[in-house]
Amino acid sequence: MALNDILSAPKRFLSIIFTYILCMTIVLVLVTTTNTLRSGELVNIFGLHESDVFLSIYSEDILSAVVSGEREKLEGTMTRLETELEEIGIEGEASIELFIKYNLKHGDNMFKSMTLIGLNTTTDMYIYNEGTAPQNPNEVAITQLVAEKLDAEIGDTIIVCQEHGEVEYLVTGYYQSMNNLGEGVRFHQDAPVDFSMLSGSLSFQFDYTDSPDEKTKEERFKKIEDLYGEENVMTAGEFAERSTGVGDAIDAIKYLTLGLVIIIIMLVTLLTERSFIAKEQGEIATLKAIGFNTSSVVAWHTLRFVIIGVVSSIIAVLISTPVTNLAITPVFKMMGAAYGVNYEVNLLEVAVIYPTILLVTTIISSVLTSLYTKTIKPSQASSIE
Amino acid sequence: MNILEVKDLCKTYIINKRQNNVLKNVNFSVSEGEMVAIMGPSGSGKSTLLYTVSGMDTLTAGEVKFCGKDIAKLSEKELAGLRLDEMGFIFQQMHMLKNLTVLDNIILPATQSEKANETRKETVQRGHELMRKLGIIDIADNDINEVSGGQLQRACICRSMINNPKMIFADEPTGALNRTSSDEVMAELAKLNSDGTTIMLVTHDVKVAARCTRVMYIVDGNIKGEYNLNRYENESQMRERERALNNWLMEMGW
Ligand SMILES: Nc1ncnc2c1ncn2[C@@H]1O[C@H](COP(=O)(O)OP(=O)(O)O)[C@@H](O)[C@H]1O
Ligand SMILES: [Mg+2]
Repeated sequence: MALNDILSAPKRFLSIIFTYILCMTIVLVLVTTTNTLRSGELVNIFGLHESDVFLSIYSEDILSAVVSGEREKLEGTMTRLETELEEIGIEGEASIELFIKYNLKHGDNMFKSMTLIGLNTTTDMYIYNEGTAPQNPNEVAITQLVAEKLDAEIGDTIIVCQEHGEVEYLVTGYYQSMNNLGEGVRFHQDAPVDFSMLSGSLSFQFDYTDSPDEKTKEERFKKIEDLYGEENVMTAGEFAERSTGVGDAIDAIKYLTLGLVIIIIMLVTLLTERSFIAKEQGEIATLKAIGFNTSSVVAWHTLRFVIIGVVSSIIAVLISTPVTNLAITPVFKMMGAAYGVNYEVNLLEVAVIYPTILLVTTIISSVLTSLYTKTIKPSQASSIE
Repeated sequence: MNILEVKDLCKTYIINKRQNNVLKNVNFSVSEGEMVAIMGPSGSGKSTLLYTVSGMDTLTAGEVKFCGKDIAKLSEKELAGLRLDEMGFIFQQMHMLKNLTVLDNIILPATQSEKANETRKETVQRGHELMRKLGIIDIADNDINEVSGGQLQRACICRSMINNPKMIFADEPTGALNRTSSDEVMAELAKLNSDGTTIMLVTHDVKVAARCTRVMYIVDGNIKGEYNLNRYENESQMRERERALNNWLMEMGW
């Protein structure tokens, strides 16, 4: 009966279906965005390799080594880190990303950009969106933005103005990075880079060498946290989140939006149901006159909203991924992820938890509103035209 | 046996703090198999009487027993159940659900009721049977807005009958119909009555009332008089019955 009502007069339900889909899609897009910001996936688009652990420790040692340009001191600190972890039974390799600012030249184009070299990593550990990893010391990968600014392509040779003169490098590939709003050059690990020019670094990364299973990884993570303090030990996801610094903000927006959406859905349901009741007073009274009790009337009206809610949820779930791409990808692009992001779609949350929350909201408010039909007397059946 | 017993029934509406005593100590009873017409001037409380004795509206004071049950003591749910299973209703302008076909409207009370305990197919069959009996089988699958007033009213009769009620309440069932349709509908109601269904109907039409076994005349919320007729048997009696009833109604102040 309820389905029939919708099918035979779909126009009446169009605006409410539209509202439901809109509300639900907004929530789902935000859910996917926060989940993506929290996933290790994002580390790749910071131009880093995905490590097991990110450690913000010994920062003073790192800083002084960076300032003085002492490669040995950095390597020493890394060895110390590896030894300390080995002592608690965790084997692995530490690495760190270092920044240097250089002028880049290609033809008439020249500008200063941040460049990146990994200490104790190899260039094949990173992700390239086009081309290949630099194989030799005189090869580099660049970001899309740098390619544009220099008007250079894969296979071109660009010039980096280093301390001992201009050095030519062959561009072998493009990568994407949200560091420096998408500007970046990655050197081969053995590139002739003078460490005295270092301008900064990221924190230590650490990779297990014995590829443990998830459970062991978790146990080890706990151990490392115990050793260095929880706030200094991060997963790739946590690191990415801290780097963008918007995870919590978006999370807050997500919950705020969810709250608003719940209120909107309640209001829309309430108003729609009230107008249905007003329009169908005669029918409701008739049903009551011929022996339907209030709860069957409520069930009949609520079922309509349930059907609409379910249909809207399905549509919203289906369109949420394309909509996320459409709405959120440009934001990531603005931050430098020229090739877009792989969204972390948590099926449980997107397809089950949040739709259920909104569906329950719909049911509750339609039941409460349709209880108003209690005031319609069966005897009104004949007095209403 | 009395199917309906009404004792000292009072109904008062309060509008803008002003009391409107619509029914004042009404007493009567209806026994099984009767066909009772309620007549009276407009606003005298005929509809109100019908609604209060059928549990569609609450009573202010007094007692109404339907099949021995005191309806004032029943919950909303029990009352709805009673109306669903044991009572049938026909109104002057009755609503049907616009989004359902005529047949679906007719069998709607049966799908809600647990009385018959049958499959949907059996219900549909009974619906068809009733529609055939009332000559509207052709419109079973039509939409509500595609049928005429007379057909709709007969569909309402089918709907009121689908759960095999003990008693049918009808408020001006022919009020919106032309003479021919009205006669046909009344003939059907009379047939139902002769098949054993008790009927109580409100009417302004002497021809309609003349087919009943009893007429109650109500003025200002009081039963002013009752007029008993023999069971109606054939058309040839009709003129005579109408004339006699008319005379009585004149006495009542019709
Ligand atoms: N729901 C109601 N609320 C208030 N007053 C009502 C209501 N229904 C009927 N009345 C009043 O009760 C009186 C009798 O109405 P009704 O029973 O419909 O008369 P009839 O059917 O004999 O024409 C009228 O004065 C009418 O105004
Ligand atoms: Mg009336």
